[in-house]
Amino acid sequence: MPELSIVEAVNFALREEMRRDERVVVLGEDVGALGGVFRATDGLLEEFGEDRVLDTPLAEGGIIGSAVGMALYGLRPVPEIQFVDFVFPGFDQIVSEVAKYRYRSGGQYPCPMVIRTPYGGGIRGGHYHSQSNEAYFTHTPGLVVVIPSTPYDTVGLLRSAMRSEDPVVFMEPKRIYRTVRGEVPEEDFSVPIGVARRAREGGDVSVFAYGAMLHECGRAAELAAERGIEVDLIDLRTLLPLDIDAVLESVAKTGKAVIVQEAPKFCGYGAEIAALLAETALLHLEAPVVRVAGFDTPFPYALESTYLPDAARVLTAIEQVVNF
Amino acid sequence: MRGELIRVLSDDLEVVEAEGPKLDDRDLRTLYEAMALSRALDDRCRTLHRDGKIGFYVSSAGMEATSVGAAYCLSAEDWVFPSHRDAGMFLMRGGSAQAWLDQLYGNSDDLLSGRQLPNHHSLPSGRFVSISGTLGAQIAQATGCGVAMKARGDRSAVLVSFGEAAKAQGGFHTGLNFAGVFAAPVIFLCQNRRFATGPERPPERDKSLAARAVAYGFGGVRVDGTDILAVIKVVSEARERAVEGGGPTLIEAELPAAGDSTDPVARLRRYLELCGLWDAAWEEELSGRGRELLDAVVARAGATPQPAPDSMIFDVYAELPWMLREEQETLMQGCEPGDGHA
Repeated sequence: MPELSIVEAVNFALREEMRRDERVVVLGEDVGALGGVFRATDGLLEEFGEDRVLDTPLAEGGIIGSAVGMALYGLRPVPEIQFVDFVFPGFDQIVSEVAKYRYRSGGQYPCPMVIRTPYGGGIRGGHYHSQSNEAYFTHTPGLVVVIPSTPYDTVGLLRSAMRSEDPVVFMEPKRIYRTVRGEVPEEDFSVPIGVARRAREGGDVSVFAYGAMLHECGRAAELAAERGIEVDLIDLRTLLPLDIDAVLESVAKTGKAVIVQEAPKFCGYGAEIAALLAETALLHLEAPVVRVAGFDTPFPYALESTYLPDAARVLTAIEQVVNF
Repeated sequence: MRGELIRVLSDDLEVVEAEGPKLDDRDLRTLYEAMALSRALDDRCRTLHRDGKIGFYVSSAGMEATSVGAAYCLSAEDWVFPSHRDAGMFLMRGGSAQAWLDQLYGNSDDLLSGRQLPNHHSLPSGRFVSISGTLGAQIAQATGCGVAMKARGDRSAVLVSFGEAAKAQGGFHTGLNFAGVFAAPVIFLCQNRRFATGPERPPERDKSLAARAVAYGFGGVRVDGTDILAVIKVVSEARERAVEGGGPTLIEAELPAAGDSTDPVARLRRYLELCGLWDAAWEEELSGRGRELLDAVVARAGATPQPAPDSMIFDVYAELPWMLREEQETLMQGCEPGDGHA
């Protein structure tokens, strides 16, 4: 079983699926000859040719807009937005078109595609290469939003995304593109969309996270264990639709919840989890729900490590709810 | 400054362009029937709107030659990315007057399940793509469809229709730029009614829209959009070019501005009369048939009930996620359950 990094897992999943399904095409800025700015599409042009791996002009609206036409025509486009911070010229196409086609046509025009895009801080990229803006997409009915945190899930979820009849925004934690490695089976396995994963079993406090933050939470859980606190760490993996059963089951067991996200706290994805717990799990809760998040500022450059939640901040939150 | 305006018929309805389309008498009469029906449908819809029977309507009057003429040039395998004033194209792609009206009423027979504002039809059987409310959103999509056709080796073309207001949008530039780069088999048809919202450069400082095609590396033509023969000539040539690998074409069809009395339907009628292909008895028969059809479809559309309340929650995704299942239950408390598609 080969050991892959997350970005190698992206490449592996794309290549395997393009071999399996000739409808799958990749398009975006520098995805062809260069192999992608992070090498996620390395070697695909050589293997599949320029009808299936398209270097496009630099225009996100054109990338997503073209992908819409391709999807309607019957292809399975996988457009890449080089950094999710650049998505906004294509945001109208995603939110007003991709997400709406099936609905507005009464189910006559599904628009399946996988919008791959690296997200998140921790690479000294400044405001325009660091944001974690998943909540813009999770607030849009019609989109599926997936964020993997391991190479195995990257392959399994990207496969499911490319086989889905729904459009998927597939956000890749670029900070851990190369630092997190793991074994990936060579056979054709997949990971279902909409199902969370228990990354660590514990009975004292639930911690909900996704993407790069999952690993900060894993470190926090180790530190907590040294203090006698056992963390039930849930990797959400799919943000929309959320695996509500996994969330409620964990909180029913622990009675305490910490939610971790890189994004600004106000109206962030964690707010939805907190609201769902307040609506449906109030009688299980033994302490206030605590969110650990980025600050309610634009993403700063010099102070990025101050801005980003880390294991120490997560540990503080864990102790706060456990000692409530 | 604005370049040649392609016409086949002069103001006096003389054939001034020898290289016009080859149409026989039957073709000409069929085209006239389609234009007349499109106009009758539009007249009826405007009345329905004025009478408050439908909540919104945008007219296609004056656009019959471009909408019908352009669609006439296409094959069944070609794709259309229409604008919301393409009633003629909808009919030419096999859409029925009943389907048109059901959409305007948003009733339970509407192919779109009542999801869209009137005039935002979609008709997959005619490869007539769902219409957006964002002006110009369809332009880059049409290009992508053309890129897919080309990549698949399919010998077909895409026609994308938009009004002149869309030329101010970024999507206009992006769509044409991508089409030029990929030599996509796309026909960009701007139906210019010269009433775009917002200020414009004065004519002496503005080249025609068609002239912009040069910057994207393909041809642009201006055509008299009230002259269906000229429309058919330029769209046929553009389609031929697209299918043969010659890439895209930008067509600017000039239409009557508000207050201009040039009427494309009347123009073809007078031409047919000169050719001995029209008489008052045939007109009477046509309008009678149109009236009868419209009476029937309007009556039926108006009598068809609204979609079932819970039909609202379907087609967001291929399958219902848990939130929507819960919302469906809430919605249906006290209602009769529907099957999701009214």
